Amino acid sequence: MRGFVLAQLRRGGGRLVAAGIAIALGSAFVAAALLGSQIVKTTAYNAVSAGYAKADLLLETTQWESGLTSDQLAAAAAVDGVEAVSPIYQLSFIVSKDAASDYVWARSAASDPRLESADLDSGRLPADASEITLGIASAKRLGVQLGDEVVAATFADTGFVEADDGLTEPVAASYQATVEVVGLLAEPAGFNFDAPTAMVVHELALNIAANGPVEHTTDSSELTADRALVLLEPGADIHTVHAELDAMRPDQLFTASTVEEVAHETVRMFSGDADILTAFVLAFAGIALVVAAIVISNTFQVLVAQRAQLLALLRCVGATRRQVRGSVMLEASVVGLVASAVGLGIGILLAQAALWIVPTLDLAVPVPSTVALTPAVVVWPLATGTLVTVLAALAPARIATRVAPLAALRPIELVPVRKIGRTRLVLALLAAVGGGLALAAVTWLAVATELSDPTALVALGILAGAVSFTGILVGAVYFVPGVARLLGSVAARLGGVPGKIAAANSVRNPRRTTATASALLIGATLVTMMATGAATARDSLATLMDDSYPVDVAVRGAWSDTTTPTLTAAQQAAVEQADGVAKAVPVRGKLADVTAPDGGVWSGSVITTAPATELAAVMRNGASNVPEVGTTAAPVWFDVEDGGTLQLTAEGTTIELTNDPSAMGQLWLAEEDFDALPGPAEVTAMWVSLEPGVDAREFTVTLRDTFTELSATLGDAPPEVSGAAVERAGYEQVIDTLLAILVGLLGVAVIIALVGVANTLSLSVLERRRESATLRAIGLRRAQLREMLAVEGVLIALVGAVLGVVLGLGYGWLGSALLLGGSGGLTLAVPWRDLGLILAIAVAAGLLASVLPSRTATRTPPVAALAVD
Amino acid sequence: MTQLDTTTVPAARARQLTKVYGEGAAAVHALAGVDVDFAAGAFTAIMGPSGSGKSTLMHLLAGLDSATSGTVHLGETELTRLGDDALTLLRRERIGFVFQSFNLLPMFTAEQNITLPLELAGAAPDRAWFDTLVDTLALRERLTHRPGELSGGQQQRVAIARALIARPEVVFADEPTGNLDSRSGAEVLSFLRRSVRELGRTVIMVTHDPAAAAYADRVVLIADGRIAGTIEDPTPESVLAGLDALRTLESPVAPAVAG
Ligand SMILES: Nc1ncnc2c1ncn2[C@@H]1O[C@H](COP(=O)(O)OP(=O)(O)O)[C@@H](O)[C@H]1O
Ligand SMILES: [Mg+2]
Repeated sequence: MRGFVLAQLRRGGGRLVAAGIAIALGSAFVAAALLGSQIVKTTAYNAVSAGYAKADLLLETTQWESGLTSDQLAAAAAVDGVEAVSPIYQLSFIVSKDAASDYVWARSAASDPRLESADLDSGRLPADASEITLGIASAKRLGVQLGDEVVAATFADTGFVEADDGLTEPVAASYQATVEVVGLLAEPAGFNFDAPTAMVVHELALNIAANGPVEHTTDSSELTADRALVLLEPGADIHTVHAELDAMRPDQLFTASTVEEVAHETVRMFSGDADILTAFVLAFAGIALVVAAIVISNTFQVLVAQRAQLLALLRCVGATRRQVRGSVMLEASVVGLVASAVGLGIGILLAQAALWIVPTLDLAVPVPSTVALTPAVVVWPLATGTLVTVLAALAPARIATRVAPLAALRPIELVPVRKIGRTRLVLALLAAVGGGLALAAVTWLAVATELSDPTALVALGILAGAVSFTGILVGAVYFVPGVARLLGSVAARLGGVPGKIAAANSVRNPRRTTATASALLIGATLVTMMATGAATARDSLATLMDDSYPVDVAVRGAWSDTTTPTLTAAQQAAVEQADGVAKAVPVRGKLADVTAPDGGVWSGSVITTAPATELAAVMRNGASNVPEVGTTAAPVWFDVEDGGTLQLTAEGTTIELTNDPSAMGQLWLAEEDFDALPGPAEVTAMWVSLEPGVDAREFTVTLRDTFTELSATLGDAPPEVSGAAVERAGYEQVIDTLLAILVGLLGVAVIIALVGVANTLSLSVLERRRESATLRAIGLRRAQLREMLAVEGVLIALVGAVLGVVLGLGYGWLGSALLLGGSGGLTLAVPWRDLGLILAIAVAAGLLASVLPSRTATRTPPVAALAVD
Repeated sequence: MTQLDTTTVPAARARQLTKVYGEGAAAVHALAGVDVDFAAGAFTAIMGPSGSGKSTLMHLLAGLDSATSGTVHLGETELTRLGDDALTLLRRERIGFVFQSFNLLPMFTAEQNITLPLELAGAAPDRAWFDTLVDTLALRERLTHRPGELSGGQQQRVAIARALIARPEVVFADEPTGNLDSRSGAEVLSFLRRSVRELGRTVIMVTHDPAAAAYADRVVLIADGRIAGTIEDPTPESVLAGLDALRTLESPVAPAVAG
């Protein structure tokens, strides 16, 4: 039997290429996901352990106030086998040069050079208190170079003091020292969040700390160390020393751990996330493998059908059923193993390519230079790929055993087609309808109960959705051919004779068409679901936004703490003349002192107003919440209850207003009240409504540019542009990014499905060699033959895509209702553009899938029609 | 050597036709300079031993394959000059085929199979002609059946109807009875003969069966890629005798054997 399998592989190996590609893509995905996760972890580990130089052990205090005391450090240093102990002193201060200043996170140099982890870009570490080594980024911000002098300063108090002239100015530094920049630190590696951005000698650190804000120092104004690095003598046993250090702390004043432990622990903290991410990506690899399994199963079914006579002949000459099944399984194992190995190779190459590219991107991430091939990384892709192939071949292998020896004596066309069982229909219906109803019920519950945390319901919903989708896939053979026939009748009407033949061909093998279309249906459904979810989230959030941001765009004068923020005349004109503005309403503002009922005074508060009639034109809610005369909404931090009285005073005149928290804005007044208070009013903001169809994102960007130009020429501080449109741009970007990632991950499954379409066409073309030749002989032109296959490819792809789009819309709506329904404001959306794109891609892919099969078909000479088997 | 019909243009004509498969030492001269005319309105059989070049000659006459040298004319048209698309159009409009393995499209009904050449040509079906064919070939009851539901003889009759539906100038049949039992075979051959006698078509049939050849008006004998003679008004016996003569002579050029 083995000889037979090998002969089959040699003879018909080409027919298995597509199946091989499908499985190789799947296992490449698995390999890349595993390698990616491993690279992230290795990178994190490298970065973390790089911060500990050559240290073997790490001491960490449990007493945050005192840190590691000098007694503790001395005791640790005295332990047998300890060569050096270097406490890590860290503090922050300000470094300035002329007008520029920068906060640095500084560390004092290690007491032992072997424990110094600083990564110098140039120059050296400081030798005394008159020197500093600066992080390269800080140096750039300050505009200093090696040899320049900078001022290191610290402030005991922060904030502003009132100067003699009535203006505020920063408090004076409590300590400052002029130091020379003697070295630059390299950009800290990614993941190394603790890396210092400056290095000073311990003496300077002590001086700064002694004068700095209280939180950096103890009562004794001493700089403390939370951690210390421990270096062992050569040959000392790390476990013995570890145990001895542990024994030193019955009082639990500090902990000792090996650097490896610490690094692993730190990596575990990040990679908890990395593992979730890996699992997430692997889930998509799983989807890709399921799609590959469909393609493989289909391929083997076709092969078994094409070989029916050969298999029957084998049975005639004495092969047992077991041997026949064994031959199919052996063939599948070989294909699965070879393809998985190829996939593993592709995955490794992809990961390695990433490792080559990342360092050139200047991301300062210490990625390893080569991928590390652990057993898991090698075994998983091989095992999953092979296993999926073998499992997918089980059903075809069983069919092969059903070929009766008698079939050898019958022409191929008369080998009976297996009837589709009833149990399948029942199971499929149960799963599809049951799961669907469950999903609908869970969604209804989520919407009705408005749970704040619907995690459990979401999990249930995902399960129900998966069950119903599985049911639909299992039952696909009952409705996919019908849809194919429907679309085919359109193609037959539009496509002339080639269309008619293609339509007839596409439903000739209902199982084959179903399997091929199903593979694509999975991808199309999931992509549509994501796109629908994204569109629904977008629209739903837009509804919520409209409530919290009543206008499309608000332009506010630059903030100032002494005067009313003001839009200059030029800026107002710029807003009014901007393209796309439907209406711009100026908002007037002036300053007033506000006295809360509890006696608290908020002096210099900005009060605002605008004509209510004008507002109705720019506000999305029709200006329904403009405050009544005599009321206003107090900012929450005023802590005024509903109905409380606020006193507003300006230039000696006082009015009283009732707090109405439901009114719009903060200290927004009815015009009458606003005008009752004296004092100069300025145009402090403009509220803008956009013309329908104007791209808010673009509008905002253009307007900001205009303001920047105005500032450059007139010197006015540029105003702030915000509003629903701007907010929307922000979260739309998040949604779009997420969608792009999800679609990218699903892309592999879709590509495999398209390989499947090409595969089915090629296998069919081989099978219909004589037919194609006959058609050519009786007058079908080459181009028409190509057209015929193109129509067939498009038909199959479209069936999958159309059904996928319909299902995906349903799942997308249910899913978004489930996730967002509780928060109110759910707006179900149809992502027309994305749906159109999916169908267009399906058509293009169907065409593409027919290219290679067409070449095979058109190469068949018409003479072949006359050949006898 | 062949009898030229001086009154009308022959339906098909080959001159100095050669076909070489392969190259160098492995080259096979399937046709080695064939000159032959096939009269219009006649039923001609091409006969010869296996491997003598019968099928090759037919492929070239029907525009299915290209010649190595020499010319082929279908009526006034020289096929050897035409490109693939022109040949396809010519086959579609002027030639009909009957194959040994029937070659019906399994997903179409008998009726759809019969009218396929018209659809390919975008021509409206001629109902009267369709009815004539269907009745002559006794297919009325079978029109809605698919090939899988028809016997071999019925399938071949559908194939004949398909070959004739577009009223081609010539119908080529390659071993049309090769896959049929002798009764169905006889039926199919009588239909082919009727289509010539009663419907005025031209049929050129390749066969190795003397009994089948006897249905023809004339037999062209071929041996080793050359025309070895013709038999007018053949009977099974005269055809057998002709073939025997070829075998005994073992000569590339055999004298014409009178029927
Ligand atoms: N496609 C081909 N390639 C190579 N040799 C061929 C091919 N077709 C036919 N031949 C050879 O050409 C000769 C004539 O073949 P053919 O016309 O099929 O003979 P017949 O139909 O009389 O049996 C034979 O020797 C055959 O082997
Ligand atoms: Mg032959």
